[in-house]
Amino acid sequence: MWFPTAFLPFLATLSALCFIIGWFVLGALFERHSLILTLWEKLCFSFALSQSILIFGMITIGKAGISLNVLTLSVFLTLLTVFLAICFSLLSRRERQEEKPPQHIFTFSKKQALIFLLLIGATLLIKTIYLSNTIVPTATDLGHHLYWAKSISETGNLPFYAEQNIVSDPASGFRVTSPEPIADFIIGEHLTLAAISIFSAASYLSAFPVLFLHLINILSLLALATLAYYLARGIKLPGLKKSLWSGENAFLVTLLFFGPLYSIGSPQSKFVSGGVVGNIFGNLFIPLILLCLYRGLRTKDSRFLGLALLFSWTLAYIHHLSTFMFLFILVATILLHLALHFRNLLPILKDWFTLLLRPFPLAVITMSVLFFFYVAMPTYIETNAVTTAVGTPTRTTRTGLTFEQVSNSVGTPRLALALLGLFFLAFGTKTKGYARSFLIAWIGILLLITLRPDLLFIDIPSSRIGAYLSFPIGILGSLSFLILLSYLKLYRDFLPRILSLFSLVFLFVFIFSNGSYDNSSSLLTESKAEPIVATIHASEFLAAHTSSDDRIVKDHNFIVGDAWMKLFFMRGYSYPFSRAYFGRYETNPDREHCTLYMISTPSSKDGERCFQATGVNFVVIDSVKDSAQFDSAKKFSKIYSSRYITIYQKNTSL
Amino acid sequence: MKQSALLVLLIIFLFCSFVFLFHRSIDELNPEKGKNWWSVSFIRPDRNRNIDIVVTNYTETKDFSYQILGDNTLISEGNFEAPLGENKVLLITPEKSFSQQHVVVRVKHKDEVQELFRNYK
Repeated sequence: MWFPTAFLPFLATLSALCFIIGWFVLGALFERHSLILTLWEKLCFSFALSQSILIFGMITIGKAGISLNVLTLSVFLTLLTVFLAICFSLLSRRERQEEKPPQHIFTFSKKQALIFLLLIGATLLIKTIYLSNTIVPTATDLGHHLYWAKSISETGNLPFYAEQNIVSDPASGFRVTSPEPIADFIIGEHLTLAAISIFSAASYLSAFPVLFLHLINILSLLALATLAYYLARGIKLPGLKKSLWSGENAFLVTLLFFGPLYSIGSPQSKFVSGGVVGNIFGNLFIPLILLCLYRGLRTKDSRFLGLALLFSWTLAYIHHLSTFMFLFILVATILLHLALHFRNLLPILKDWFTLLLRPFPLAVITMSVLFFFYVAMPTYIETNAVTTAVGTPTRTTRTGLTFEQVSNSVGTPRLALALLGLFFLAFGTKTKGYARSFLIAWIGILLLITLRPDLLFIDIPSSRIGAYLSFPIGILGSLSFLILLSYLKLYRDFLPRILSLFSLVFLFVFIFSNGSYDNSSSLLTESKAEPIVATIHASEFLAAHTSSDDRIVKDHNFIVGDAWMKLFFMRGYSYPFSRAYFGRYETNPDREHCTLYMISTPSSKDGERCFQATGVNFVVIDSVKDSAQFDSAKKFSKIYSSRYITIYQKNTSL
Repeated sequence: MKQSALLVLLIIFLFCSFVFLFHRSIDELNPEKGKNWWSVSFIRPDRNRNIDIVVTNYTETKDFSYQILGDNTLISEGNFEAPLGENKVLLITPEKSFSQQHVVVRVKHKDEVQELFRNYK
């Protein structure tokens, strides 16, 4: 693979599919030189709008029975983009005509611009160093996701999310089921990756999927910083110095708290390299939706509300957990804001409905409802998977985190500052504006779900929910940091000079040491390039020497990048079968044990029975950890061997 | 300072990060670049009595040797060269092996030995 022929088509496709179409539609919604959007909003909105167009467009083509290829996608996406641009332009005509320049225009001074460049440069440097050792395709989640993306680009059809399982059978002991629906995957996670591959012919074994997620991660930082900019402008505290307490400074401090500090651990670059596709999307869409809602409610501009609805609807087709969390945040924000303004309920509700009943939001709602009922529902609705996330927590990993675990997860300094920020918000603000409701509700509800999920009957792994908490904590932490600096400056004449200086140094050391430690503890020391190349080689060998009539079992405990093997076969999501992590068999006794028996004890009675029932005739294992039991078995031949991977074939009757 | 200038610089930074990572992945996935491993496999796993092999070498040194053992007795042996990146095919199935119950093909490269075997019991 020669670098320019692989990289340049990917870059061109990424620009066109992920920015240009969205930029075009955004230009129809807002004036091209509109000052009410910052450049960062234009960038993030363009990306999110492109995702909406791409995802809903591709689902529509696929559901219409038209093959997804370069020609159909080019024609349909162009037509859809132009159609939406015309519709959006007509529906938002009044808003564009009434548009007034904002009271304050986002501008960096020279010093702030330099700090921005330093922060973004340091962020990209740290992330790039981390990703350089994880850029080879090894992550399990990414392997699973790319199977579906590849199936879309190879077949030109929307995938049917299903897998075959091994189950107990009274007659034969075990049997392999027919394909059964999987609720864990949602089509929006895979469509953009598939579209990039269709247009650029990029290999799924290249860096392109990770780079795509890396891009979303960077955009989410800009979205968070922009949200912090607007929230800071909405918070009024007595005595805040304008020289320090400004939206631009809030933008920069937020960038510091999410960029150079805490830039690798979950839910940032670790999620990128791990291929946690849905969460990465959610981490961009949740702040973007909140940003749109906040701006819509503050400025009474229905275009923002329409965008918030469109992005929420898009998120529903990308990631169920993020959508679920967003709904909790939304409901909590509405309830808190109404509770804080219970004397003015009617005017507030009237304002909201007036905004909601404007042409653009109404059109978005209508299109969404029509799409839901007449084109496609999210897979988790179709498979009724929502019920699996609701109820009394069933496992220890779902019963909530301790406060210490939360603190370690989001960063102790950020949490400490955020709690201080909550105090400022609760008792210090002059006005009870939206900024206060948004921040308190966002943090409050996620803290509650993380610490006590049982109170809200949520049955989801607590660590996954905890990852969502780092965003509001980081934003409020950065605002609180600015408030502290501002107050230190305000009261410097009343405080002993040495105390002010010591407080300042302590604060900086506390934040930087913890944030840098979080980064350094996540850095890998060495690349896994050689073992993954060996896995690829073994997979190519097996793909060439087997057919769909053959059955394969491989090990997930020791083989590097084993989840990617299925991309070489494309014979089903659960092909080859996999021996899961040993703990899974212990914690879940109802789980099938055939995959364990066939590799761990192939010559035992259970092992023999499983080979017979499943029809498995090839076994792929780590050469060092698992070969002894096969070398001594008489019913296997060793047909492939390397330092990393060994393949055994079950002997047929001679 | 103009936001558009900052955006251009951000895009340049991002482009550099992308170029580096993309290039790095190509290097990392190139089996011939900076790797040190090799593999041996049967050419026709579907044919029970065929023990012809292919050796794929991703090490710097090209000298290999092999032995064929039938029921723990040496049937044949030899040396061969497999340059870096080459799939060296060895048509080495001896007639003698047809009557054996357990045939082993042992390939050696420096101190590392890899074995393939067929069980006919």
